[in-house]
Amino acid sequence: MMAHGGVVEVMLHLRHWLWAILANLALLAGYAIFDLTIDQPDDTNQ
Amino acid sequence: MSAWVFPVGCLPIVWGLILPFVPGRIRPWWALSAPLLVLFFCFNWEPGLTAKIEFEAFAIYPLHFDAWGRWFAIVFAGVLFAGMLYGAWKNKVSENSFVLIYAGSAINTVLAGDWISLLVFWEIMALSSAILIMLGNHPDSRNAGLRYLMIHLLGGFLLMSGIAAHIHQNQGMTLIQAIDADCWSDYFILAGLLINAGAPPLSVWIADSYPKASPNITVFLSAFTTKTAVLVLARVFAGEFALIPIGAYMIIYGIVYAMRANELRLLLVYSIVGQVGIMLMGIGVGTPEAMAGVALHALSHISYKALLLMSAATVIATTGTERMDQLGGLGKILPWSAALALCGSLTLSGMPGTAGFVSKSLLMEAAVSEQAWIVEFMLTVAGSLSLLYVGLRYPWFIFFKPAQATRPIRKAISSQQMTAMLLLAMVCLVLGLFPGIIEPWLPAATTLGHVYSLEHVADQLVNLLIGAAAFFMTLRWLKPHSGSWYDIDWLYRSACAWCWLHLNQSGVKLDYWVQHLKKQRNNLIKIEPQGIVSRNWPTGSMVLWVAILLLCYLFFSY
Repeated sequence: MMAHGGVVEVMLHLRHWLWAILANLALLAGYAIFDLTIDQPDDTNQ
Repeated sequence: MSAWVFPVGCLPIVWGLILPFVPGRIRPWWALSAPLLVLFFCFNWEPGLTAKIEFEAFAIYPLHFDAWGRWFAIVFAGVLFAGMLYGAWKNKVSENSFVLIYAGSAINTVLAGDWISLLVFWEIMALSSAILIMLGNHPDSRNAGLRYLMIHLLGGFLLMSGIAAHIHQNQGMTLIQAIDADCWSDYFILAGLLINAGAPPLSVWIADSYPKASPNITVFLSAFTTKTAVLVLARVFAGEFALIPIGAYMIIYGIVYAMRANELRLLLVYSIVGQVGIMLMGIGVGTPEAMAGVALHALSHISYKALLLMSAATVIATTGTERMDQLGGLGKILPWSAALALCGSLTLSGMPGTAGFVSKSLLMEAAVSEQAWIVEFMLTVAGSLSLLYVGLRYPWFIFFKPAQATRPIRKAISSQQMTAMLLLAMVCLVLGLFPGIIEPWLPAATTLGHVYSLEHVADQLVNLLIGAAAFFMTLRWLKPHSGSWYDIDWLYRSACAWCWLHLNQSGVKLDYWVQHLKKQRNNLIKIEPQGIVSRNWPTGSMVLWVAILLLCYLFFSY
């Protein structure tokens, strides 16, 4: 029980770092799926 | 001093109106003197001053100089000075003139004490900024300016409807006070303000219009419109829960679209949406600490965004392009611009030692103490991801990527431009290193000494390290490339085109009427004997029109 509580406490303290890692992974995965695999029209008007 | 109390934003407006008549060589100095005068008055006046006018049954307060108004007026005047120092010598005369009118109306809006004067300056601001976009050199500038104006007229209409109903409900009381949104008039005011802040579903107007203005003008556009909305929201809707999910959406929207942007200014303006989202979340939390964080974040955001947009303008002027896939290695040609852009990017990311770190730490503390976990989560995510979508992406692919430098077409940076960028970088760094110096000026009471605790600094450094590792590990993927993503404007723009086409096909001759109106307009402005304004009119028809107008007047007076 104590060990379980300790892990939760450590996780709570490190929550910002965990969130940062997950957010980076999610953004890169989303970018890889939606941008790199889909042909986009070139309408940049340049 | 009380004899000198007047809406101080009128100074830049009058200066802007006079500017075209000032001799050419003095014009830039004339434009620079307006923000300096505003700063002089703002630093000398004590909070609490008001100017009051009785108009019909209403009490109008065109100047209500409180701590919030003072903070934003000083920030606006500061960025007007820096922007003019950067661009006044290169901009068109009409651009400089409308920038002064735009900035003056923004300053008057943040200092307005009642809803009526706020609305008047709000609309002048919308109109002058739309003209500034139309004056741009982009092939789509004119249409983008019209689209911008349509969105802002919709926002102005919602705001005006809400204000009219609000004043009616409060027996003619026009003072701007905190509102607890619980009836439709309050929601109309909220919606009108949120449209200007770039909130969903119409966030697209920022990315659609700002990059179509001249590069030097985007600096001003990025500073005033959205931040004016932030100030009014902070005054009126502090603690409104709805702002938290709206802000969260804006952060995600800004990140996703900026990640995809291939043009320098498009990348930077998408990140405006995300940063305004952070401010809206702070307003949603609503505690004094959060509100101080919002005020400070507005200042740091305006400073680093102006700095980044100035560096982008330098790159565009030097190379003639803003496509990131065609740029690279510019650090060798523009070393100072590269260093200053890096300073702006790091401030945006919230690197310890910069103003961005102080403001984000304040907001984070407020979120933790209020147990607003969505705000805490979104602030962490926005901080760490900022390196991926702009913090490292912008300086790396333009300045530091080891590549053949893009061939410069001309040397574009002058000493005034360098001074303007240095001034803004100094604001970012001095406020970051010595946050205590602005404590007495903050509009919400809080202390800033504790933001540099070991916990905050370590937390932020590790977050940024994670973002930097993600960026450099996936660098090959992240290479900018051409193309664009659809936004919500695709829905209403294609729906309008579809309706137009089908109405034409079904017999309503819209195309014919447009051509007819254009012909009439051309006749009107033609200075020839047959033009509408210059041809002879029979006296009888003039008398008839006068009689009709008098009858209308009689009818309405009853």
